[in-house]
Amino acid sequence: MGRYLRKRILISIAILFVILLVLFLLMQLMPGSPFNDAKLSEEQVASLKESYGLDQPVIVQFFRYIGKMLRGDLGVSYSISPNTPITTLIANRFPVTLRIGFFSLIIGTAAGLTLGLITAFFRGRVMKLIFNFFTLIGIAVPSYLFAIFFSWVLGYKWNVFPLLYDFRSPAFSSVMPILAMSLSVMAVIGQFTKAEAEDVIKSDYVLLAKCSGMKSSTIIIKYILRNSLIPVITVMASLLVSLLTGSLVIEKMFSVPGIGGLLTTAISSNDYSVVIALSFVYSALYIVVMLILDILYCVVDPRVRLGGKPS
Amino acid sequence: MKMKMYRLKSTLCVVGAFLIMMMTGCGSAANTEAHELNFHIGSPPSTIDAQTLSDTVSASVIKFFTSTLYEYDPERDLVPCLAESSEVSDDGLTVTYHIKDGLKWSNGTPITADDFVYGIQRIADPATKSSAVYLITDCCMIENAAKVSTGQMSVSELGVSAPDRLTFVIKLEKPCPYINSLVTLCCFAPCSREFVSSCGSSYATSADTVLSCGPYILDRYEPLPSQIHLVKNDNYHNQTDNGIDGVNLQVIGDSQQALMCYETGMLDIFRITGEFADLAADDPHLVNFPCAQIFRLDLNHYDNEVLADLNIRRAIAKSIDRESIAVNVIRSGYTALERVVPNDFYTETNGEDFAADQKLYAEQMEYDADKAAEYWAMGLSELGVNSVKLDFVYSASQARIAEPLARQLETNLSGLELNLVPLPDKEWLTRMNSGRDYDIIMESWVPDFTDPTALFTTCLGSGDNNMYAGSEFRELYDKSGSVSGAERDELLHQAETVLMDDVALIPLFGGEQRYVIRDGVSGLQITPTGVEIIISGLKKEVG
Repeated sequence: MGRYLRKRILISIAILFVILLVLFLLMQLMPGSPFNDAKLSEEQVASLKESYGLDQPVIVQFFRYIGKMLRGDLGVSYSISPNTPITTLIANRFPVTLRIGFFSLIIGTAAGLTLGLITAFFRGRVMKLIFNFFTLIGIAVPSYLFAIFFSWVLGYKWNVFPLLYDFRSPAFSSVMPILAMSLSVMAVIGQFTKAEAEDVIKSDYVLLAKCSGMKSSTIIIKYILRNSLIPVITVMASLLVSLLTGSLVIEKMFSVPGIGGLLTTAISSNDYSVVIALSFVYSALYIVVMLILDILYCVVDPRVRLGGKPS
Repeated sequence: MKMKMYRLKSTLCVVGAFLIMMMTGCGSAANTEAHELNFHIGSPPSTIDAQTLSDTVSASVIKFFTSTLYEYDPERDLVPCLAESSEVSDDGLTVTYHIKDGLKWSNGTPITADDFVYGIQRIADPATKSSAVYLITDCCMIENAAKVSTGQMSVSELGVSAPDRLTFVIKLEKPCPYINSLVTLCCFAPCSREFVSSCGSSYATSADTVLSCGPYILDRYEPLPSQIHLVKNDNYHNQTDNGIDGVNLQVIGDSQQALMCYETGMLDIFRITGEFADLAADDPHLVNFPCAQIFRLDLNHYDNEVLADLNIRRAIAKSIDRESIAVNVIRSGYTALERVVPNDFYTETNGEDFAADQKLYAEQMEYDADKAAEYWAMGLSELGVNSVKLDFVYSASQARIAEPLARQLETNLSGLELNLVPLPDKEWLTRMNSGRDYDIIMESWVPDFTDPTALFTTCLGSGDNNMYAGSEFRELYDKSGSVSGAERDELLHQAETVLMDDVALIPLFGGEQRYVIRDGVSGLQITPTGVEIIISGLKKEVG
């Protein structure tokens, strides 16, 4: 286990290093520069490039960046919020994205698990039809369309929830973005749960539990839910990462000050340092979550062997 | 049984905590305060540091908490604000401002002439990395500004001084007749030396690290915000009971969402753009503010021998039916422009609008397909060719204007083939600044101050992005800097005539800013340039 972990961590670091290098090279190929202001003279642009170290060869910039990063410094923004430390920009926004992403996952998962389990257990034709209808819509329709729908109905027509994120009532004003983002989670989790639960229901121990007169709710919670959870957890991990990286459109629509909006603004303004830092954070997030997941597999299911050696 | 109850209770606690968290602040969905002004901005400001700003959104935000020596009043007249009066020396090279006595920063400390000195020194200081430095090196040439901004002199040698607590003096290298219009820009606002040094590198990064000398104080701000909140500044010198105790600046990038917010009462003032402006065309709450955001074509006379031909340039200018594109294609927000200076932009000494007659250069610019074809044929025969291929560069975000324009040119000028080059905004700006990496480029231009020279500067032939360098024009332009009054206005008219006769550039459209304003809210105005909003007349009546 220890050897396997060391190997995985080393591979992860190597992948992050390669990602960073590729990002640096891609940024160099992008047209334009962060200092595209028509009002800046050539001398000023040269002076700005010098002060940010952008006049150095890419490879020098790259290793300098890594050196700073190891000290926890992701650099400063060049153009979207000049001279503001990127760690400040991310630190201000990440909690908002985290909160909305987390609650979208919890609500979506709870709804998906309930729907999936009930549909699998009762196996009615109508039930299946309704389930398929909702989950297909949840998967096929992009979340921004749900956002438009909720904005129109709950925000505009009924005036139940605010149309925008408001710092004076952050929780209440997060309801619509959470709802819009949780529907696709619900659909994905629902599909996985239903498929897995249908297999579990056919097993002998569930049949035995039914024959012994156990209550349906007990059978669902105690046997079916527990045994259907492993594949669901796998999906949840990747869903969590994609929710944490922020939904670009949803954030823009509800004016949520999250990191998704930060990334789109940085890309459109050629703010290299912010784009690189955010892309790196996203990559690191994925790699770390996947690593934790692998370790969890081993802990949850002892049959899983890690590192190719018998445990 | 006990265990089951414990689980049930735990579950209920978790669900309850979640619901409480979700419902915190639950009340009205609109959540707006009666005495608060809810103002829409389309994108977040890049900075709240007045001396470094370069974009109009930041300027609009900063305007709420800063004031300047002169300002535009709600009638768009230039009036003293923090200055009591000003005087210019006979040679036009020294401008003296007398500051009002008793002015205070929001923290209660007095505003003195040194704060104005330090503000301009900050713009020039290379360490500030200000994008506004061109205002003191090019727009008004403050003594030594060019050398200070490139690090060849220290900031103390800049031509700004404070001989006493209430006198602020600017020394210029060349006379600047429009300096009072220039100092209305936020970057010329005062800046407290002590406060900036106490904040260090964190200056202007949060609400606590800026001082206010304007009608409101920043109460909530974080870099790249989605919401900015301001409260009334009790230390402001010109307190008025306008019914607005606080201002909520709401960043909404999505126009549809902004429109719904306006209709549900979450916004009092909504800047409407694009197709939504068409939808609101008949709305009684819609207010149009003409501004000098203009579109024009710049032609590469120098590297392209085809465009060096005057008849070819005349043909292009006369083959554009601006009215038809403005009315039928763009439909809202722009009007046809047939001269360099738009109307309602500059008022002459005699009180007349400089560009009231938009048909003054009809002979050179008015659409006339037959005349255009005639010039075109003459031009082609002078060049000895039958067809011409030119690169037409424009910003992809302006495709709805550029593409019909290109079609019209190709239709009216037989043998013209335009290679359309739509570019992302940043790349388009780079091309525009590079000066010669195009044949024809569609520019959008917003002048910084209300003087025709603000629109003439690109025709001076100095610098990279200036394509035209007619000596007659240059002479008139230079002369206009050393005279004033009606004589100067006449020179400016002559300079514009030279540009139009020579088809140095081709004006296309002038812009308008459109706002939808709720009943009870009044007094919004924008400066003639359209760069900043005028908030001194804003009022909100709560019904």
